[in-house]
Amino acid sequence: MEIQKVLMVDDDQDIRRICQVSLTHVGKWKVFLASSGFEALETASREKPDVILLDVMMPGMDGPTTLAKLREDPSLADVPVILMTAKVQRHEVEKYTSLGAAGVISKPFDPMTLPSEIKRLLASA
Amino acid sequence: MSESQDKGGSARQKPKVDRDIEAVVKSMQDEFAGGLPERMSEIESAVESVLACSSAANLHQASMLAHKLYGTTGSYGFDEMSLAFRDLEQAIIAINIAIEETRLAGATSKCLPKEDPLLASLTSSLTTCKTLVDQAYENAVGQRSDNKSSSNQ
Repeated sequence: MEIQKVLMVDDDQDIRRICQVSLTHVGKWKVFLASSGFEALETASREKPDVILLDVMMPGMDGPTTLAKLREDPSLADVPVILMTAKVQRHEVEKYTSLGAAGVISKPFDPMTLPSEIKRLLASA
Repeated sequence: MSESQDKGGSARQKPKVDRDIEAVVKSMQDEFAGGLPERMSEIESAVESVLACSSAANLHQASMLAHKLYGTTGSYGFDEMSLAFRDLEQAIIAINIAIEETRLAGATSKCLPKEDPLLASLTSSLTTCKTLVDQAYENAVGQRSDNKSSSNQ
């Protein structure tokens, strides 16, 4: 699939900033940012991104809950969602993929290779 | 990020676009490092309340702060610091488990004895994080003043 628009969701401003640089300059994609699950749902609904990067641990609405809400919306149900977490254990990856995630990216990540990691996960999903 | 790529890039010249992106990332690293002492002081006070077993002690908050900095510092290329924050998070979790175990065994106190090695381990992890944060901050400030003086020449 060809990626043009990416929505990146994380409550940590520093993570959003480094992701934005990576996805914009390395990936050459148009990037939308959201700082919470609630904001993610609004932005996704408005911008219809090709892929969503979603942090697992966020206050208010966490990543898995946001993912479930996205899956309930018929207009967003098919948008691939990649979860990002610092706790990548096999059972958690299995749990997230069973919830409908296209894959999991571990934190910390390398901003120079993040876009290729996203492409790899989407190709194997 | 930059460490490994610098090593790999020595044999062959990198395309200009890669070097431009790396320059942007490097500048973001310096800016990020400049803000680290503030975040460190937040985590320091959270950990110190755990060490002192004060009523304000919040193990969950302390471990969340360490957890976040593990992911963020590593993504900005501070690999050693990232591992230090992971160790700090693990040290806090170990204390939480130990307190829970003593509580289940019937203890009423929410504190570990002062001589408990888990507390020494937490202090040591905190010191390592603080040292690495201070070093990164000094480097970032030094870098900024170097850039300033070279642009003034």
